[in-house]
This record gives sequence, structure tokens and C-alpha cells, in this order.
Amino acid sequence: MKRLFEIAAMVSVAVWLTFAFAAPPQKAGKASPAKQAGETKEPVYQFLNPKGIPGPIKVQGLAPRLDTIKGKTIYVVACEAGPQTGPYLYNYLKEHYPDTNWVHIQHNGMGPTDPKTEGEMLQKAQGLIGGQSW
Amino acid sequence: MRFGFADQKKYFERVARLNNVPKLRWVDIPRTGPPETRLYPIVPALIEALTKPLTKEEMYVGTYTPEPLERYIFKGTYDEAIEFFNSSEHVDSADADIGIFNDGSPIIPPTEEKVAKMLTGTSLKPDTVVTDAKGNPVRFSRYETATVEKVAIIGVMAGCKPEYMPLLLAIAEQGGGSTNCPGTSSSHGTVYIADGPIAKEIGLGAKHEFLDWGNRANVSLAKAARLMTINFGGCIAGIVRTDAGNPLSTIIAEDRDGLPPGWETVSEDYGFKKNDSVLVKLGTRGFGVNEFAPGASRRLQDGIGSLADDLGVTGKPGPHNILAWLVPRIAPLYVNTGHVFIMVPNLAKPVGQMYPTKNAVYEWLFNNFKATIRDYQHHGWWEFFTGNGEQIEGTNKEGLTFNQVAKKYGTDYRIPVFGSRSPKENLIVVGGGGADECIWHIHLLGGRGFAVNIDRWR
Repeated sequence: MKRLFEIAAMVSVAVWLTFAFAAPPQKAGKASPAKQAGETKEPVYQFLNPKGIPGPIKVQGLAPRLDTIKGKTIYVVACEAGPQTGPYLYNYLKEHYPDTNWVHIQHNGMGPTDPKTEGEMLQKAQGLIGGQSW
Repeated sequence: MRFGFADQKKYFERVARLNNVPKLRWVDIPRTGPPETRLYPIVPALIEALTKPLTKEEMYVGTYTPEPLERYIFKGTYDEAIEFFNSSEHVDSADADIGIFNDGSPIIPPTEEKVAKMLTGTSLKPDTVVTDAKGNPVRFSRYETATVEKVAIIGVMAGCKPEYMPLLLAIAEQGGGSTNCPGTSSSHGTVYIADGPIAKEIGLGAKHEFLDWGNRANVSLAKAARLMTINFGGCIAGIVRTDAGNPLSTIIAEDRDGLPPGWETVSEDYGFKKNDSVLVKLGTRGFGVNEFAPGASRRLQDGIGSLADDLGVTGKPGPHNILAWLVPRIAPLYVNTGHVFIMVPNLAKPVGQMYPTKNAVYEWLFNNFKATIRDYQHHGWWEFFTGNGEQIEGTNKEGLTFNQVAKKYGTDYRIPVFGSRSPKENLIVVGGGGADECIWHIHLLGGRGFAVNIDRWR
């Protein structure tokens, strides 16, 4: 179940990354203590914080790792535009790790993922390699 | 696990956290090179990511609660605060110093007093959360939220006046000043169109040089939109946007006085009433100013000169549709998506004499300018927007994909250039000066967006 959640989460991440890459909140600059105290005799003010308000996030741990990839079904999902990565990776893995059941999904473009394919993946995948590959 | 370009790792980390798996494993891959040097060498790391036992942190299940925001971010003299809010940090990927709280232009430090004054521009309480029309909190960069007071802080920093507050809050409702920040590339710009009584109330420019500098409302509101993206959403130029950038970051009003008789206002075009004040956010891709030589468009209306010759109307006085000359010249570049034309009133006038409504012009654009599927297949956006042809083509009645249409009807099947499914993916805005030499053309990112009601923020 946990692995399914992780795979579902990874698919979700993949979709997000199509257009919506985000960065962690940037570090707020901090003045030195001396400056904070105000070294001059000019009036000292407090200045309001313009940063957006972050909320809590529920954290799901990662699924247990595989002891080996031999005999396992592992999906290679190369997301977004361009077939310049996914097929090459899939063929390479198939050739060099023939004891693993590799399944390739090339998810191009902005459209929704095929529900049938995604459903199968959630059922069958024991591992997933997701690629950005613009 | 996931692999991607090293300069995308920060985006990945944040998105992974928002999807409940902050420790999702990641492997870097170079952007360029053949598979032998770019891709195959990372395979051992990919296998390791699948098999290496989890750390304690990776197994953690629970709630990540960020530290509460401090109400105040700085204490000091006003001059010290100017230094603080205008500070920058070096961004390696940009090889430049990038503003931490600012967009690279000077910021006015937000004191309690200035923010309180800004808050007089709305009847809403300072702790009111900015929500969309359905009441859902607006999330900046899909995470942080903002209150009315936060928006007032931004307004102060950008140099806005209190009376701009409803528009500032509508900008916040639209998610701030970027359609793609954080995002992988920044070739997308943002243009806001404000329409309705509020535009005149606050003096938002709609006439001469309205796309230019000089007017406080236009300039400071556009700056405020950027500051929301930077401060609410954590956008850092050069880190969360990794392409060449886009200079389009502006807000304008439509010149209602310059509309041809019968043409819809922007508010009416988006389904609101004429007296409603609305704000439209346009995500832009390609754009350009199409400048006609002085007098060229007037000669066209007189049935003389080069444009008249091109359109085959020599000797025939107008009205003539200058878009008929312009549109074929820009059509090949952008296919099957919405377009915006910002027309000065004198150029819109003869078009209005031929087409009684904006909708009629949209229909003309949609129905008369086509590309073949084969054209689109040779277009750089083919893979991206059609999923290599696997998405639904918008005009066939059978609900077929592009590939299915091509198979059934051949690749000569013609699809619209201006819009993909509906003429109303296009937009005309009338504004600018009294000359007749300029049409701005903007190629839209994902349609013409939607309008929000500014009046609810008064």
C-alpha cells in the first residue's frame, strides 16, 4: 500500500513538474544584531514581514526499498515533452538488466495521463523511475 | 525515485514536499549530450535509489509544520530598512545578484503606519485570507497563502496608493504576477487587463503609452504583482525560472472611450456586466509590436498604398480590416492557440465598422485562418500540447485525437490557428494613443484565462 502511495505521489509530482516547479521558501535576509538595535539616533521602526504564509504538510515516508531488482516489475515513466530520454533509458535497462521486467510509459505533453495505463501501473509497479527529460 | 536536470532540483524538492514525499530520491542528469554521456552513466545511481535501504528521515511519517512567520522581519532605522529590503544574493545559475524581497528596483520599507494607511483602501479586515471566487484560499507557488494585510504590505513596498487595494487584492486572487513561477522556464510573461469603473477611479492608464512607464498605477501595480510572486511564492529569478525571461510584466486598462460602437467591453467579453470592474490575467508566450509606417493604415482606408495593394482594395475606400493584412504574417508561428490583439482606437475603428462585435472578429479569426495537421506536426509545440498527437483535436465533432483525425482524414486536415476549440480563446483589447501605427500581438499560454471581480475586494 505504501509503495502504491509513493508511486501515486510520484506520478503527481511528475504532473506538477510539467509546469509547476517550485523552490523552497527563500532565506529571509537578516540584519546584524548591531543594525537591528539601531546604531544611529534616528527613529527605529519595526517592518512588517511580506512573506507568504506556509501551512503544515502531512509527510508520507518512502516505501521500503527493493532488496534486488531481479524479477521485479519496474516502470520507467519519462514525463513531459520529448522522447529524447525515456526510450533510450528503457532500452538500455532492458538490455543490461534483462532479469527485471521493465515497463516503459512515455507521457508526453500537457494532457492527462491515460487512466488505464496509470491504473495498471499502480497495480503492478514494484518500483518506478520517473524522468523529467524536457 | 526521480531523475532530472540539476538546475531543477530545487523545484523538485518543493513539489515533492507538497506531494507528501519530501525525501523522494533524486538523481541529476545533464541537460545535453548523447545518451552515452548524458543518460547511461546515471543508471547505477538510479538502481541504487531503488535498492539502497531507507534512512530514518526517509521513513518519517507525520506532519511537517513550518515555523510560524514572524510578524516583523526587520527592526532598524528607515535607512537601514531600505538596505535590508533592497538587498540581494548571488544566484549562481543567473551569475547575478538577485533581489531577496525585491524585483531589482527599489522597495519602500513597510512600516506599520504605511501598511495601516494602505489598508484604508479596502473595507476588508487585515486578517482576511485571500480567496478565489469559490472561497478557496489562493496558494502562491501552490503552497503559501496571503491575507489582506500581506497584500497591503506588498502594496506599500511597490509604491501603490491605498485606492489601489481592490486591484491589488484582485491581482493576489489571480495568483500574483507570474503564470510560471516557480517554473522550469521563464519565457512566459504576464499581462493584466483591468476593466471597469475602477480603472478611471485610480487613474490606470488606457490611452497614450499605456504599455509604457510614467503612470504610477500602471507601474506600481505591475511591480506589486511581481513582488507577490517573489515574496508570497518564493520565486527567485535564475533559480525557479531558468530560461531567458520575459519582459512582459504589465497592467493596463482598456480604453472604453475608444471602443468601436457595439464592441463589448472586456468585462462583458468575460461574461460580467459593463459596470463591473474586472481583472484578467494573461499568460503570454510570444509577443511583438506590429508597427505600421506612419500613414500606412490611413492610406489603406483610402484605398491607396502598399497595404491596399496587398489586400486587393486599391481604389476602394474603406473601411478595410487591417488585421487581414497582419494576421497571415504572424499566423505560421503560433498554431492552434489563443491570441491577443491590443489595438489603438484608430486602428480598431474601421475593423469595428466591418465587424459589429469583438465576437465577430474572433469568429473571423477562428474560421478563416487554418493550418494543416502536417504543419502542426512540424511545429515545436506539437509534442508538448498535443502529446505527440494523442490529445483531442478541438474542432472535429467525433472527439478524435489529432492522430486519429490525421489517420481518418489525412494530414491535410485543417485546424484553426487562432484558437483550438473556440473563437473565444482570442481577445481584443482597445487602448493606446491617438496615432494609428501599432498593434500589439500576444500569443497566449493556455487560452485567454478568466476574469475576477475586483469589486468584491473594495
